[in-house]
Amino acid sequence: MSIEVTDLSIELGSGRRVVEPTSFQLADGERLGIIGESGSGKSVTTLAILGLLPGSLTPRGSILVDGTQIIGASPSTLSRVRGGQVAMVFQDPATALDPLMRIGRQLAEPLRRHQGLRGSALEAAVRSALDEVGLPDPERMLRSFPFEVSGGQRQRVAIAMALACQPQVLIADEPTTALDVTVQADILTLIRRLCEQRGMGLIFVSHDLAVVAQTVTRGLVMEHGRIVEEGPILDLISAPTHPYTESLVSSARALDAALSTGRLS
Amino acid sequence: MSTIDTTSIEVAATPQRRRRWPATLTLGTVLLALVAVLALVSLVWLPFSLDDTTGSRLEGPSLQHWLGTDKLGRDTFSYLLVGTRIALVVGVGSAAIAMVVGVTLGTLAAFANGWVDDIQSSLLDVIIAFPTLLLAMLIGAARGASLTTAIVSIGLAASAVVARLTRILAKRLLRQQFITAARTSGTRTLGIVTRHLLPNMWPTLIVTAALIFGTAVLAEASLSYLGLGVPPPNSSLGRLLQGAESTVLTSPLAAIAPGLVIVAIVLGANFLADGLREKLDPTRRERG
Repeated sequence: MSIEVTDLSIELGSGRRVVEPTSFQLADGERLGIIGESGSGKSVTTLAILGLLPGSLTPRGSILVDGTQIIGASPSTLSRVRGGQVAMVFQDPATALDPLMRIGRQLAEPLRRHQGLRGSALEAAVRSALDEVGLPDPERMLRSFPFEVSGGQRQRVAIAMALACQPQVLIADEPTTALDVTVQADILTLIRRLCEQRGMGLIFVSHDLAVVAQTVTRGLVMEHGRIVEEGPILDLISAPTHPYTESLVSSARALDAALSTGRLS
Repeated sequence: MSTIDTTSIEVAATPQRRRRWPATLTLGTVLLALVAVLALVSLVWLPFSLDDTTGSRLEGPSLQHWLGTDKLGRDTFSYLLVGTRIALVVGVGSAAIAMVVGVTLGTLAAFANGWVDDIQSSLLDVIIAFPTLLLAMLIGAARGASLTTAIVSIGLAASAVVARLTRILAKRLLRQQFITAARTSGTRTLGIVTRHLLPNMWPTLIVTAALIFGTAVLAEASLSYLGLGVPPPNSSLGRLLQGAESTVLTSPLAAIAPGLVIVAIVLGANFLADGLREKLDPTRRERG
């Protein structure tokens, strides 16, 4: 399944543009990274793909998800696309789960709705979903409230929920920013493994070039609502052409050097 | 770059979750249960029927008339029993109306944006600016006094507060990521309301309901005291107080008894609300 974004611009009510007309594609099973600092328009772009922009933002242009136009789509169309075709994992696992719903019930929700599972089949599906994202002790996990498990475990639950309906594309909006570095690496590996196993497409949004490089094959660099550079992720890192990409790369290099030599140049 | 996740409480996730039963909850339940017993007794047994005027006028407390008799020779204790029942009926009924109307309006309001939201929230503020009692008096005076009018008017008057609270709670929840996450996985608006909004608002709302119950009992007593509440031949705690006013020096018990019942109900409702708040919020359960 492919996503085709053509001349997408996003405007505030005042007419100020948050995203300038932008075009990009995601091929079937491709892993794409969107890199940029806060306010560069990367998150709203992904929200627009799911038709989730807040009322104060107006999208223009065209977003085709597997041939379905998202801009101006009816609630029933959107509800079919969301979860079933495109799913999303959010930045902060602390708020991405309903605080008063046990994890088991929360995971069962999308499975029941999209796959029509009931009873013991549903229970088995919930267990295998937990298993797939590498969560140990499913019994305890199912009965826990979100606040009773760690941040990394919550993010795994959020990923399991997103994957529950077998989406063809996963959008991950800074999924590791709120996590510890060690947990971060685990989550990145998990996301990459799941994408490879399922042949699932990925749009990975991050401000961290190192994180993106580990996860995707192609990257878009956004600055002030525009795509300033685009290409295979290794080319972007080894030979950045735009000054902004260059500064991202050189700051990552400086950190790398500092780590190996023990001092910051 | 590494943020330390201070919100994770891994150690707390042991199976033997401690469920504390707050003392206030016990106290509130006991107080309200005692009052409820009085009310239930009135359904099956009364020392004297309400229109029994065989006692002598303004008798003091005796074995026959535990709280004495009123100006017409009627048994005050019998009136107290029935009055307690009426008070509870009004309390429960008004709280139910306030919750149903308030939560419905508040939730609808939470989904509104822009000028619709502005207009309805300022409208609510205007209604809330009037004291509950005054609003209930207005409705009561316009519709004529009856038990139903008392329940409906107090319930409607209190619903504005519930609506405003619900609106704020729901608006705050709607901005949270797990709502977006639910939308992302295809949940429609109705599902969001029933599965995520209501369960998350419930602990706060049930506390409010308990408080409104207490307020409603007080409002009914006040309305009846002023002659706008539940009319005769039904009894009412407020009217008992008003009747005992002129004889408070000669037979104080006739004024003290209904007063005590009202205090027990309001205090019980407040304790109950406090206890429920502690009990219902799972994130507070572990704390000592």
